[in-house]
Order: sequence, then C-alpha cells, then structure tokens
Amino acid sequence: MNICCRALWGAVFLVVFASAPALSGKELEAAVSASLNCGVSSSVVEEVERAARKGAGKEDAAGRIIRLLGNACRASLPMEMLERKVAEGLVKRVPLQRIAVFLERKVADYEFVRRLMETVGDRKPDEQLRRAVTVMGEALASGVSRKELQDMVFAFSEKELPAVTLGVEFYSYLSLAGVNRADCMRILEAGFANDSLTPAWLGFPRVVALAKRRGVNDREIADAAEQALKEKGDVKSAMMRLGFTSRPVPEPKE
Amino acid sequence: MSNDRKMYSDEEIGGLIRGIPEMTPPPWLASRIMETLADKRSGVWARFKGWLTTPQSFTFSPARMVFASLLIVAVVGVAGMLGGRLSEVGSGQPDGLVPVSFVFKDPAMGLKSVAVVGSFNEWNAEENQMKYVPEIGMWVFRTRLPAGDYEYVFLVDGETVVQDPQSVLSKDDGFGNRNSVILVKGDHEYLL
Repeated sequence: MNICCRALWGAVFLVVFASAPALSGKELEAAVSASLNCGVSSSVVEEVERAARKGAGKEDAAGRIIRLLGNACRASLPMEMLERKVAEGLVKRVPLQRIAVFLERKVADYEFVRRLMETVGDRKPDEQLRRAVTVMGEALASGVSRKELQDMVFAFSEKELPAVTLGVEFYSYLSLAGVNRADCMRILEAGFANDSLTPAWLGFPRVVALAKRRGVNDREIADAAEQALKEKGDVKSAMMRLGFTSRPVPEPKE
Repeated sequence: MSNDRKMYSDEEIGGLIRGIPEMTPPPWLASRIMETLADKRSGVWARFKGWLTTPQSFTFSPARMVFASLLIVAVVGVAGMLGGRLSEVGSGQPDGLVPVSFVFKDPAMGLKSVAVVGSFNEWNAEENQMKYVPEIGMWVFRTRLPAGDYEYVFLVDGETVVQDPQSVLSKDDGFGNRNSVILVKGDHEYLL
C-alpha cells in the first residue's frame, strides 16, 4: 500500500473514530461480556481494560477495540493475529486510539481477502481459508496492495488454495526483502509454472536481503531463483548461483 | 622331619634334568590327551555362514503363523508411524523446534533490563527477559521455536522499543515503527 493510500485510510478511520459516540461504563461492560462469550482471549481483554483505567478518556478507545474483536470473532475471522497485534500495541505503549484505528484497518483487510476468496471459487470456511485470510491479510500489511493481491489470486486461481497462499506469502517476503515487484512476480510465476515452489523457499528472502547487501541486483537474484525453480531445485541451488554456500550452525550450548 | 635335605642350585637342577634318560611315550598317551580337549569352537560369522549354506527345514503350526503375521504387521505399523512423524517435524529435531538465539549489544552495560518480545511469545515481556553476559558485552536470550517467521523487537528498560540492528529483514508494525523479522528454517540450519 503506498503512502497516499495509507494516509487516506488513516484519515478515514480517524474521522470515523472521532465521530463515534463515547461509550458509557455499561456499554463497555456489555462489549467485554459479548467478546468473552464469543471466545476472544480474556487476557487480551483484561490488558485493554487495564490500559483504559490508566488514563482519562481511554475508555472509548478500549471499548472500540473490544467491540472490534468481538465483531471479528462473531464474523469467524481469524482472531490470532488480531489479538496478537493488540498485545503488541499494548506492550509498546501505543495509544489505544491508534491501536483501534489499526485494528479497524486489519479487520477491513481480512474481510477484503475473504470476499476475494469467495469470488474465485467455492471456498468453504475451513482451516485453509482461515490461514489464507491471515497470510494474505499480513501481505497487505506488509505493503502488498489490494490490486496486486487480487491479480495474483486471479492469475493462479486454478491452483489449490494452500499453494496460492504460499505464493502470496513468498511474494510478500520477496518484496519485503527489497526485490522489485516485476522480479517478484517473475520468480513466483516460475515456481507455479514448474510446481516447484515449496515452503522451504520462504527462507529465500533472507538470502535475497544478504545478497542485496553484497551488491547483487534484482535481475541477478530473479535469474538465479527462476533457474533453480525451473530445474525443481531448492534454495541452496539458488544460493550457489548467487555465490553463497550454506553451512549448518551448531546448537548453542546452554 | 629330617633337616638333611640337600639344596640344589639352578645349574645342578638343569644338569639332573639333562641326565634323565629319554624314553619313548606309550602309544595311547597322545590319543588320551586329545580326548580330554574340547573341540575348537568356530566364530559367530563362520557358524552363521554354515547355517545359511546348509539346507534347513522349518515346521509351522497355524497358530504360530498367525502370531508371526500379527507381529510383522505391528512392527511395520510402528515403523511407519515413527517415520511419518519424523518427516513431519524435520530432520535432526525430534520435537520440531529449532534453537534460536537473540543478542543485543551493550558493551558498557548501561542498561537495566532488556527483553525480547515478539509474535512467538505473544508479545509478553515478563517471561522473556534477556540475561547479560559480561564476557561478550551482550544481552542474550535463547529459545527453541517451530519453523516459521516471527516479528520481534527489544524492549529496553521496560519502555523503549528497539529494532534488532542485526536483523536483515524488517516490517512495518502498523503503529508507526518497524519490527525485525526472523525466518526460522525447519531443518536446524540457518541460511548463511
């Protein structure tokens, strides 16, 4: 997501948040009760309540966070990452208002991915779908745009959902490592065309990051990965093409 | 008992032995001695080889056949289950967990506490305090993680969030900062 989009989303949610009516103590209690009844983590809810008690005017944001978690739970969205991000924000002393805005965006991303899955086929709400929503939602948070995600899902829609999920995850890691989008897609297409993209390839972006530090450019990286994938090779074969060797690291002594 | 025994020197004893007349042993002596000796036992391999190369005959009762079949099925089943489980968790790590060390440099030991918090520990700072190792001037935390990718940061003195300067990958945390990212491979081998 580019900076303009982020700013726009932020502005939209800030306006929505600012215009929301303040929650009373009873409303907060009701939100807490409803969330817990659905199965939202009690420790996360307690932490949010505790943070709300530390300062005046925080109850509204706390209530919004708890209501968002409860709504997401009732909508059968994957809760693990949402709860984890709330815990992360709290331990980092992020203001509750900002956590609430983030959470709204995250839930919106999850709903977008789920709708996208529904448009490409009969995707039943099972574990594969939950994982796809989580992984693709994370890809959006990592900077992959909704348009890119949509293009990828449509382009590889004949593949099984776990394979598409793996592909999106791999693509987002490659872009995190700084590879330009065209080369990311070239590597991904080579993996799908040859059915050679395995979960072990998720370790390749770390090689990419180190290779780029050594001055290897995107095209050389993409060439090495593409060739290895065409030959149904593994990450090590791509590493060797980039001039690296792998070595085992012994377990640290206690 | 008389005390008039003569004492012989070694040389005298040798001379007496040499002076004994030679006699032909009786014909039965060799065979009698050989009878008292046990046959030389051949080695395990030689016996096994002999067993293999000698025609054998086996007899089975139906009950023994059934028992032997059940035993074979059970052994093959257990071996299959173990093999499947090992292939699921990756080579070399029976529990599927990979040793991972986090380090934070502090040569002057100017910090009171450092914790590593991340997606692998539910962002819980209390349970993941790092230990200072004066010999290397670093805060260290060792753990074992399942294969996967994890976001983390260091929490210094309980309030300051610091990204890992040694991490090669980082990710926007959505709150205006960046998290370090660690990719843990499943075969107990870090890349590079």
